[in-house]
Amino acid sequence: MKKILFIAIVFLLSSVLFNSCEKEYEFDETLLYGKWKQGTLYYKYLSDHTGATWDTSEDVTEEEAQKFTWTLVNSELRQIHIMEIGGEIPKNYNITELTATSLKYNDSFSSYSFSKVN
Amino acid sequence: MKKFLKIFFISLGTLLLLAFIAAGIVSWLIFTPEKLTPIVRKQAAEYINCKSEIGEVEITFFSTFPRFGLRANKLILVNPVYGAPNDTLVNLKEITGVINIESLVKNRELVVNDFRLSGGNICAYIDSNGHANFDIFGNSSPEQDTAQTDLVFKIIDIENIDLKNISILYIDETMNLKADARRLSANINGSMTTNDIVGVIDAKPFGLALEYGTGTSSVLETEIHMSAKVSGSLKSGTLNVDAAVNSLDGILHYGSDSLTFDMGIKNMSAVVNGSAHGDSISGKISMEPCEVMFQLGNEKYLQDAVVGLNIVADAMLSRQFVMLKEVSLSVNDLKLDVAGTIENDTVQKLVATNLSYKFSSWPVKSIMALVPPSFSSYTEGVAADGNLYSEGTVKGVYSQSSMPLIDLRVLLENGTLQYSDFPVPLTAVNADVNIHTDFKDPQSYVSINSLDAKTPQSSIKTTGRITNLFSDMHLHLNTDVSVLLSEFAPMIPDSMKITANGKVSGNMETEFSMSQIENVELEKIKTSGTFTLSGLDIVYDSLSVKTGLSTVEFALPNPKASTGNTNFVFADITTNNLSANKTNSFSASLQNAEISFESSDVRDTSKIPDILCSFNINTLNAQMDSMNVSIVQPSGNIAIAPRKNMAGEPEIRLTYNSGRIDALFGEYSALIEKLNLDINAEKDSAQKDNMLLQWNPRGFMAIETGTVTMASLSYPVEIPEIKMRFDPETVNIEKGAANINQSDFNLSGKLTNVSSYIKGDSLLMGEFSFASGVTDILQLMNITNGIGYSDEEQDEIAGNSSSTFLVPKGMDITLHTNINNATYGGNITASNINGYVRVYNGTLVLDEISFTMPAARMELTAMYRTPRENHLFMGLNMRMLNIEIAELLQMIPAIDTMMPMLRSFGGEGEFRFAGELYTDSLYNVKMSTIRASSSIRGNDLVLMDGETFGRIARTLRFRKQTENKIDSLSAEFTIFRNEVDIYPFLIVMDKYKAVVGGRHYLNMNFDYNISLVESPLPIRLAVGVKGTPDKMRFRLSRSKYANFYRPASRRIVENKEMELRQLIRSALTGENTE
Repeated sequence: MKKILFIAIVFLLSSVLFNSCEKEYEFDETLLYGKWKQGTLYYKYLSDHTGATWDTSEDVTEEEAQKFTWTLVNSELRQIHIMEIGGEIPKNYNITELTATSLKYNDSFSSYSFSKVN
Repeated sequence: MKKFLKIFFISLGTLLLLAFIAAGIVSWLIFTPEKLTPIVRKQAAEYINCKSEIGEVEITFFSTFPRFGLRANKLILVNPVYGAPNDTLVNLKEITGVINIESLVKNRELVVNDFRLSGGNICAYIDSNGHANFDIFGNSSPEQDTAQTDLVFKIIDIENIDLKNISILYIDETMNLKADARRLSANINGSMTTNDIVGVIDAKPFGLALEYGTGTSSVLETEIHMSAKVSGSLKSGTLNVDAAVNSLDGILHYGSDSLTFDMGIKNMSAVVNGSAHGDSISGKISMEPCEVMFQLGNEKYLQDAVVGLNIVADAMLSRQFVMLKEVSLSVNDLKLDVAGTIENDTVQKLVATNLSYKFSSWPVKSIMALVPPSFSSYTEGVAADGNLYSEGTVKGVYSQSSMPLIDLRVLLENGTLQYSDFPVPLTAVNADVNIHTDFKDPQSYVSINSLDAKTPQSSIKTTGRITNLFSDMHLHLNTDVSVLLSEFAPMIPDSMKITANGKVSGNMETEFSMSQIENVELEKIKTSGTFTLSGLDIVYDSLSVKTGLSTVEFALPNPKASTGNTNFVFADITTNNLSANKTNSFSASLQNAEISFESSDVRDTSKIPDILCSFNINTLNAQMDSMNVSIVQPSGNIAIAPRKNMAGEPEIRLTYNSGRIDALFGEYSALIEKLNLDINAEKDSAQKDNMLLQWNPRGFMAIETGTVTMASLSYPVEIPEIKMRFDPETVNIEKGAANINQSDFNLSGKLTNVSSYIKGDSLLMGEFSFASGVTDILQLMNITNGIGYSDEEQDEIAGNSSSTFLVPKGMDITLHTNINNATYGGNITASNINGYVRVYNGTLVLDEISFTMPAARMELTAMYRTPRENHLFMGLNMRMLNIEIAELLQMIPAIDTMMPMLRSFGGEGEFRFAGELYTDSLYNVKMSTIRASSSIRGNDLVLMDGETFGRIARTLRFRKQTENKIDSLSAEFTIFRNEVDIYPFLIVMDKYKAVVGGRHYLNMNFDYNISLVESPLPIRLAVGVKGTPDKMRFRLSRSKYANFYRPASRRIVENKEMELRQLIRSALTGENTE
């Protein structure tokens, strides 16, 4: 009986605790155009939905940046990093802030914050 | 008989006695001095118109026996002439005239035919106007005198004049002649009729001084002491003279403004026989050898020379023609024989000669002794000997425009020469030379029949001909030499720093002119010969050349030219050993070599020379700096010639074959058992930057059994065989095999765009078939590392890292690989490797290489490039089917880092992986550049890690009897920088299905969620796994992936996750995601 009761409680709590409300935000993707930096890490978003990223702390220049494509749907920013050797690495982020000078997004494990580079 | 003799002598004695008595009566009683003296004085006064003084005159018989004579004990004639040394013409102590007593008695004629003068002086003088002091005889005739005197004094028909101790001084001012005969005792005997004259002069030793002035400033003086006998006759117009001179000592001096000479003769005896008729003279002079001195100016040409002379000659004075029948002149022991004719044609002003001469065995030492002191400097330090022979003729006309033809032969036998400046004495000098000349070319020549000489250890012998003697002398010589070089070493100046040893012997024929030598006109000089060099050792400063035995045959020009253009010079060298060495620079040696060389005139730098060289050498060794080459039996041909249609550029053709080549180049070494080359190269000087472009080589090369060692390679490269053909644009490797340690390579294919690549116009293109039994990839990388990079570029990219592999650049090379087994660094092994390897301008691409690893069959596409320093790119795309997961982790340990949960699984799966990253030059990974995605599929896997499984199973309330067996596994994960995302994947175990997903970082911090989607339990339990492998925490958590794999209930996020997985999978498998 205890066992059944325990399961029932867990089930109940689960349905209460793990049910969340999902709110969709929309961001103007034109604000994303340009170069963003987080420390020595740079991202560049171009209007043709291509982009590139590099880290100057590891002696990588903008010209040597690695390419990606990107899409922004509502608040979902998807970067698909393209490998020269063939293969793609998708990265999905949820933008929480996008202004002319600030960009913040996160995924299930980390948060990222960038500032616009003029 | 006795009685007869007795009567005869008594009768004779009686007659003589009567005669003496009669003579005594006549002289003492009839013709007393008192009677005769006045008569003679009176008669003398009749004949002589000068003052005279005659002593007492008496008649003699006994002193003039058998004739009577008149003797005056004094005779003085005084006839003063202005300018004469004195007034006295004659001053005699005694004068005797032998008279014809019969004429005196019968005809009363005083006929005197014999005069005897004794003691006194005669001074005859002719002044400059021709007045003579001896012009003392009056104009009255004896006939007129006869009427007035008792005796007729006739002094004609003088048969004999006897002079005794008479001094005669004769001065002729008109001829500037002065003769002084002192203490002359002579007998002059002769007779003269209307047509005939006969006379004999017999002079006892006397002194004679002569002075003769030939001009205002020249004088000839002589002082002679001699005795002589001269007899002569003039009959019917024929003059015969016989003269003998004995014990003649004399000196002669001539002096003028321009010439002075002195001559002395001592103890000369000569006999002269001659006859003359009209203008024809024939005679003979025989002079016994006597001492002669001759001095010209201050120069003594002869001193105490013993000179002898014999002449038999005819002459015609009107023609000034002389025929020397026999002339023999000797000076000391040098004897010269001359014969022939000579004529002076005063009309045509020429001298016609036809002379021959001969001398034999003239000691050179004697000739040297005749060299005047002023010329002794030329012979100073010279000691010469030998015997000289010569004979010849002088024929022809001498005039202002022509010279007679001289044809002579000179021989020298057993000559020796020692000269202070010549280091070795010459012995056995023999010469046989003909000289043929009229002092004009081209008919003049010198013919050297033989000329040879020896030194103690050397010899030379030559023959030949010299022409054009008086213009550009032309020589044609054939010479044999055998020279020991050390003998002549002292001739080499110390400043030249040359030492020479060894022997040179051989023969050389040369034909050249002096102008050709002066102007170094080698193209006109002809020379050929063969020389043998034995033990040659020549050192010049730091350069030395040695040979044991070599033969050099040469010819200039080349008589047997292989081509029309190589006719300038030819040389053929055969040697058993030849070495050249330069201290601290190089050394080279040949053993048993034959080298043949012919060429055009290489001095003409305006043209490309034609050169042909063939060689066949048993062994060649060369060393320079750190380079060392040894070649066995190299042979071949080299030809250099102007290019066709481009004569200003050279073309070289080389055919070469050799046995073993052992070469060392610093840290490199090569050993080749057999090498064949056939190369043709054409130079294009317009291409200045690269030698290969300049020469455009084409041809064939074959190597058999070679070994190359390089410091950069741990093992030598063994070359079983290489065969290739090449031209400026392509290299066609027909066969190329190489072994390195355990690796072996076989390469065949074609390299194109070679010259274009060098020019920088295009990449070097190549496509090869690469087959190998075993390949050590690391070794292959070492061989190809850095090709196409300059040192600066290598430094720029690799920096200080020597381990950075620089992919060859500037080329596009594709290898069709077929490798049985390959290793990489000893850890990774693969087999049955097939596929394409491409090197594209600094980028290495392995294009769909398939191979078998110990764990599985693998397909691999990889890329590696080195764009700049500290920025190296590596990309990898591989697929492994049916691979044991444990072996996969063992083979690629990095996978454990990327997906650590795999270590918990056992069994076979499919593994696909694509990843790329950049590193620095030390291959330190730039974390920000890591990109990778992977897909793993597996069925019937087994969970290996019991403890971890147990903790998860307990947390998720698995039944105890649940097997740790996973039915299927399908997972994708990505690596982005340091983030490893494990996309949710389903695992099926027994009655449980769970979805696993999450992220960990490369520092091995985990954040995973394992959600049960099917289980016997009614609820969806999930467990969160966080921490590190050492400190892992397992806790119940919210089920993240409860609806995964339930399409009907999947939420949007979950769908996106699945979409991403599909994207990754599609990209890895190449499937179309559309």
